[in-house]
Amino acid sequence: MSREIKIEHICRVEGHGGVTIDLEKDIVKLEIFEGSRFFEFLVAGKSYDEIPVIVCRICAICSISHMITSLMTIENAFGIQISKQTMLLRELIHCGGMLESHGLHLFCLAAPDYLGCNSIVGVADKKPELANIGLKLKKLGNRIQEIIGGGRPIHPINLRIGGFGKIPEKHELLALKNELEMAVNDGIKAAAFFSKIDTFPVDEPQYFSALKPVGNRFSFYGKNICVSENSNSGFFNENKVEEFEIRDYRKVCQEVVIQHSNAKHSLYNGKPFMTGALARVMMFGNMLYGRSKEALDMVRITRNPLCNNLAQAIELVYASQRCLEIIDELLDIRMENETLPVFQLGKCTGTAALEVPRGTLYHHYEFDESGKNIKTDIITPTAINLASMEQGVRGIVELHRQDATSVEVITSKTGMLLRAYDPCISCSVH
Amino acid sequence: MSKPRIGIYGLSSCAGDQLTILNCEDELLEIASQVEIKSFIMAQTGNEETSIDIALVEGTVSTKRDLERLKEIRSRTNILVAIGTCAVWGGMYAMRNDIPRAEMIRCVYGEKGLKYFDAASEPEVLPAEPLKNFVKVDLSIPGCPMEKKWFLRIFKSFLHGDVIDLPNFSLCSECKMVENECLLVNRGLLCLGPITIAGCKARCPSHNIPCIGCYGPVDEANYAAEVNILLSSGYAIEEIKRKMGFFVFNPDLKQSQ
Ligand code: SF4
Ligand code: SF4
Repeated sequence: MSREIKIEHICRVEGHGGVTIDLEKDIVKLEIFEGSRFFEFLVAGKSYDEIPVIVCRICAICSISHMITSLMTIENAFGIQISKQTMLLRELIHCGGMLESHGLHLFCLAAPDYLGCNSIVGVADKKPELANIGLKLKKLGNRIQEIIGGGRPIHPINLRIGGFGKIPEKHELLALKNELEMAVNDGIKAAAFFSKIDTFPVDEPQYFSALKPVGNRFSFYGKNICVSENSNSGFFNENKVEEFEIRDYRKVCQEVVIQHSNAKHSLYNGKPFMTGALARVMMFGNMLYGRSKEALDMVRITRNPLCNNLAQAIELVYASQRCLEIIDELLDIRMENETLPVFQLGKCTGTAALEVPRGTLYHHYEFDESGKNIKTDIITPTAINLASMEQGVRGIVELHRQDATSVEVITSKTGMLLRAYDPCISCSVH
Repeated sequence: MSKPRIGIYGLSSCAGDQLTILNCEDELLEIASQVEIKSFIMAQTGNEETSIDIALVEGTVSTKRDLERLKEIRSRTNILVAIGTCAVWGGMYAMRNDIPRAEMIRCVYGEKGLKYFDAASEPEVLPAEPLKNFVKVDLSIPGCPMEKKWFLRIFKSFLHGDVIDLPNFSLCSECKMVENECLLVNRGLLCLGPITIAGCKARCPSHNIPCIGCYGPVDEANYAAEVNILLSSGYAIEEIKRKMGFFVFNPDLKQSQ
């Protein structure tokens, strides 16, 4: 019997990676062979205003995440203030991106694992209602992105430094409300489905990390980075949390170059840590409110990374509910096309972070006197999670190496665990 | 008639063109029922890498592995379609093909990274190049990402054996059709509409944003005329060249061919 297990290509995830396990030599490698596109180099020497359209092409599923984080970084560097309207429209499109990304992952990529089929086609066969909910949520997320982003959901064009090219029509926003109300209910159904799936024990990551919401409500926007140490006390436990300013992100994400991975790994205190929906919900779930709080109260969620699916389902409820609130606020403030702010160029540095579908995303740029980019650093959530994913696979191997059916069990559990992280491999390499 | 067998593949990419297929939420299940999807690693398990009728390939060749994969796909498909500007023209990832890869590796991964990449006897990392530089491409659907509408239209044409007909005129024609004020001529902005292929219905100019050329160049693009307009509007030649090279590597060279 061969003592090597090889997953040539992890399926139903974005990008290219595989797993090599040697049971005898005790080696577990999460091999990321996706080619680097050297984004940090591509933007070097570019003018500040050319950066967002380049970096949003790091990844299609997260293009809106990279676009907004990039704009925030530039605005942070040049000290540009944005209007309330811009803030709200950006948050709205960001929540649209969440709906699309979580919708794609939960129903098209993850659900087949739990229904014993290969793809969304099988889901539609076995649980037509679930497939229908998923495709509807995904489509709604895309529609929101189209309306605000300028007509296409991937690589949106309408977002600018300090504002928008053209603001959407009132009636377009109004028309979303009905579907968003349905989406809240559909999100709750999704949470019910993912709360009932069979999980299996997996090593829990020692640390979770997420941005701390600015106010006292759950949010994808945050001021400081929080790292919480594994404790059994459930939600946000003040004593076990370290807090960092965003510009000190390097203290949280200590990057290392790995031979078998084109994506670097990030370690905190030399240890793997997890970011993403599960980290957000475990750390700040007590700040959820309204229907998303109901969804959370309805289920049992633990730090097992497989619960990331469930946490994403809860965020589907939150994102839909938040879209409804934002639309009401936007209609209240009477939207109008605004002129983009003027600002002074000069040698400067900017850093920004945002909670995006897969966790915390960091961008950092440095500019010379003429606004030319001289240095860039981008750390994506999947790059952060890779070390923790690899550790999780190691745990599975440990547990099953002696089983008679070890190869099948390890292969199938590894696939399920890795997918639960919803990795975006293109992002991780970039 | 048996169902056409198709494969959907990504080389080094952002997955935007594969995602565009998955974004056909209303049509997805119907599409899946009309063809046999033999391989679509991003969206399904149980993939079979066998002989197929149509391969849709996204992304650029950026590693040795990409190149082997592309040749292997070509060897077992009847028709190969390049989807997205990366696959058709090299796209954004090709913009620094003038720089040796080692320099880029050092910038992103440092000396240690360079050592890891060097460990391989042959270069693993290649300049980002479009599919046509290596294999025969039967059909190109540009766009960054490719337009969903075009994908669906072409897909139906394939199924029915109809003639496939993509726009072959510049973006300005579409832009004039929707009656936008011209950003290049009237407002002196660096709009690449005149040298860019149509297909997006002038999405950017309709939002007061100049075209950055994400669909790639139109046949026989008149670079010289565009450069002259921009020079007379006060743009520096470096900036013009840089912006023209966002989605096609070294456009001036292409013109002199
Ligand atoms: S053409 Fe655009 S959308 Fe397609 S892979 Fe390249 S960057 Fe992504
Ligand atoms: S705005 Fe741009 S695309 Fe439109 S007509 Fe003018 S140059 Fe052409």
